[in-house]
Amino acid sequence: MTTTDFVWAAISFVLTLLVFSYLLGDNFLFRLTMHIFVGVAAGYAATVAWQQVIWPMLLLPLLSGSSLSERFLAFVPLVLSLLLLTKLSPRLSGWGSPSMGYLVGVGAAVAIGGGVTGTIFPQVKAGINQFDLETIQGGGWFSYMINGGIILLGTLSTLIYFHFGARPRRNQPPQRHLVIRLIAGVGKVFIAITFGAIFAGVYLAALTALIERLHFMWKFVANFLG
Amino acid sequence: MSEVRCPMCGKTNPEELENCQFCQARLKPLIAPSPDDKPRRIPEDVEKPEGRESVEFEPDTEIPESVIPPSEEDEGVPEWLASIRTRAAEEGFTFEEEERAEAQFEEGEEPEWLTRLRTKQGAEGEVLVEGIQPEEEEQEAGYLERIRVLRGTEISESIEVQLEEEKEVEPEEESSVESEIPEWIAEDVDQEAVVSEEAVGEDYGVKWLRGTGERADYQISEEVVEEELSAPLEGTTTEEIAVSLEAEEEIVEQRELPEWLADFEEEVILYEEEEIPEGEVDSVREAQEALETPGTVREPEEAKQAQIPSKFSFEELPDWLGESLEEDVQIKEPAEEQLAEEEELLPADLPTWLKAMRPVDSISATISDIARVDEDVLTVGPLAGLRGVIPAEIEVSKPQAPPAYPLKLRVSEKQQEQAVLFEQMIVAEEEPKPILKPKVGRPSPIWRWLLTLLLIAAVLWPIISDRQNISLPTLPPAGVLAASELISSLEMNAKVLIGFDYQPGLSGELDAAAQSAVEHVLMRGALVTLVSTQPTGPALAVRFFQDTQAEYNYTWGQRVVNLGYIPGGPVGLYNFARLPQRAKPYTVEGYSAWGGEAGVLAPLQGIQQLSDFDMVMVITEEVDVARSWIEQVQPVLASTPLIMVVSAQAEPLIRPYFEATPNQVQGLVVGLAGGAAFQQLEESTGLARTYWDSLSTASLLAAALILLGGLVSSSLAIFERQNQERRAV
Repeated sequence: MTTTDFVWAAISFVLTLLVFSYLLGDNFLFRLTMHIFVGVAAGYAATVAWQQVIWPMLLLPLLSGSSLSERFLAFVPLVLSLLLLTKLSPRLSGWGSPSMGYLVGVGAAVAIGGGVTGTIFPQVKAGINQFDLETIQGGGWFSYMINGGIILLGTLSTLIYFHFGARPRRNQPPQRHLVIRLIAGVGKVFIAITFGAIFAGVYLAALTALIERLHFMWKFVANFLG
Repeated sequence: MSEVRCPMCGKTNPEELENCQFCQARLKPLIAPSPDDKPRRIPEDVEKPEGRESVEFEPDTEIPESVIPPSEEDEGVPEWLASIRTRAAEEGFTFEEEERAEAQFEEGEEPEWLTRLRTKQGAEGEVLVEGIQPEEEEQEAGYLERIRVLRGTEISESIEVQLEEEKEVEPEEESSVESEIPEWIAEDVDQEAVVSEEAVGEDYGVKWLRGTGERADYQISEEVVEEELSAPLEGTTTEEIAVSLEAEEEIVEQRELPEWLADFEEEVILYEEEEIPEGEVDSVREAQEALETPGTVREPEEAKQAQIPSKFSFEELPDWLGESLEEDVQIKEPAEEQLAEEEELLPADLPTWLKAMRPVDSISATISDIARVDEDVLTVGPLAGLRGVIPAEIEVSKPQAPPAYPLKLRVSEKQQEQAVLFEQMIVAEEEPKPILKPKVGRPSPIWRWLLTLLLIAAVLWPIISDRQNISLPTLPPAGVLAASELISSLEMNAKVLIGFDYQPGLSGELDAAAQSAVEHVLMRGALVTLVSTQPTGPALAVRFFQDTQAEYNYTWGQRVVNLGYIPGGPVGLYNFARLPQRAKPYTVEGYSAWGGEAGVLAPLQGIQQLSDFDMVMVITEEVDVARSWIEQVQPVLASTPLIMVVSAQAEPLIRPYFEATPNQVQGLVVGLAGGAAFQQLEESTGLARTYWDSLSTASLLAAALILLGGLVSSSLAIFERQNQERRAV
């Protein structure tokens, strides 16, 4: 292990211990570590943005563009970026609205378009294909039908669970229809299973991160102790 | 004892008196009516006064005998006339002289005394009535005024003028003028002329009057006297008589009364004070006030009752006037009887709704309000002194003292008991109830430290002991199998795009999960291109290769190209998927990736779009980043497989893309378990194997703690419920 590696490993060890100090409660050492992480991450992000985005993709084409069209195309994002900087001033924030509108519009269009064509339609098609016997390869169509039925029941019951329409009743609080309530109860089961799976995944991810940190610390201590 | 009513003042006098003891007017006529005269007829065009229903003067009705004085022919010369003649004789005036004077007058000659008088008046420069002194003229004017008031018309005024003119007009002209006057007006003129002459001649005698052109019309006859007596009475009621008398008295009082009239007034006052009984003073006063008040409307009967007892009692009236009044009363009786019958009628039994609709109260209140407003006289401002001005401030805005209510309540014992009960209920509700703090599910510090120590021990024990006793999964998941097969199908120098889109915090899990898959790719001799949508991704990618793939000795820029950070998130991915050369023209080191001096880098040769890559692998822990790759990049990949290496927390939301038919993710490696399975499948070693025992132990411990904690909580809840039931029992 080189000295540089040792120094960086020691810094990592100390910062890890400071984060673990949260077991004793919120304290200055933990908050100091958080500030260090935020500052380092922001500085690193700014560096990456300058090194990998602004300079090679904006300024370099303007300064050394091979053609006029390349320079002109680079001028458009420059103007939009400068206008976006006016958002820092409350008096001039209106000038940044076109850039903000362009970002929001393009982002919403791409996200919605991708969600419709990349998630909703393919998933609906996949739900329908669960009951397509022609797509079943080999035997076991019964298990396919059971699997497709469970997926369909889970999808419908989960969607119905989020249907909160109810009819008013005399001298009683409004309540959903009995059929809706029954299906919603099934959907609640599916939702509970989903949340349980997500919780288990989060727990496993966090536990793996803890294992990695404890493994690092043990190795560092082992190497330091020789 | 019969009495005679004075035609001038209307007061009663004894029958034997010739002159009124109050106003000194003559009570008896000077000239007896001629036998040819007929009873006076009321002109048809004279409008009868209202309220007079019964007095219909019959044309053939004869005047009562008491009113008609005896004629001279029947009884000889009356006493008064004899006194006049005696007086004239004493003054040297004889009837022969009178006849001579008349003849002179008819011939246009003036008598001596008149000539003398005119000479005297001409010297004084005054225009006087012939033979009348200034004082006498005032008295005459006063009498004329009184007549005018009594008549209530302006006809007398015109007649007065006419009389003055007639004195200067030729007899022929007089006859022509007289012929134009209606008969009834002429009679009135005669009456007034007679009365005025009577009044004037009372003091001065008829000597001058006869000498100044005495005419038949001017002669005081019994008929004229009769008309004077009956004219104020006919067509009028006692009420009107009283009104006229009151008006006359007022006028007399306003004038400068002569001495003899002042004495008369005093006598009248004494007379009235003596005559009016005490009990009737109020009624008389009310009647006078009613008469003095303009616009006061009073029923004739009420006015009659108010006036008659004082001045017009039937006992004091003469017979003839009493009879007329009795007739009037008799005619009125049916009306009074009718009123009495109406009063005896029972009140109408109105329905309730009709009574409720009667605006009696509201109207009376409104009237009282209006009267109260009218009483307000403005004292300040430009309208000061005006009455009935609408106030600028409403009554409500004015400060008023609060109404005083009695403090003592009138309640019964039962009501008091109910009030006490109600007060007790309120007091019980007002008492604050202690708020029970909800039990917080947060464990105590001891339990927290205990669980932390247990978990750390479970993690560190496999690491410290350096034992790998727990075997790796023998049945790899379908996603791992599919990923392994796809990677195994890569040819030599296949171009693989790997996206390092995870944060440093979860690098321990994803490094262990992706280590075996990336190692497998590198083992297949593939050319790798690295990108990331996270700013920290390129650095993590370099660290990953340096830490886990160092044994393969990759040279950056030859077999591995790091294009770096793709800004814009989904939009950047969308752009990079369609135009990778424009989206990322340079490497992290700053070299031109797509055609610099060294030419196109080997991993990017032949790459125009992402579908030109042989495989795309994405390593991420965020669901949104994984979905962005699936939604924005996967549609343009065509037949290029997409393999996802995701964290365990993103698996529930990413697995449907892998389970779908057709699937959008062809291979799926999830977390440390997926990496261990992939490693087991590839029969390699790595971080997954190192962490696997710790993960298994900690997962088992966590499952045991969750199960144990659930049992303990359930047991405590059951015991607590049983204790509550026992306490309740």
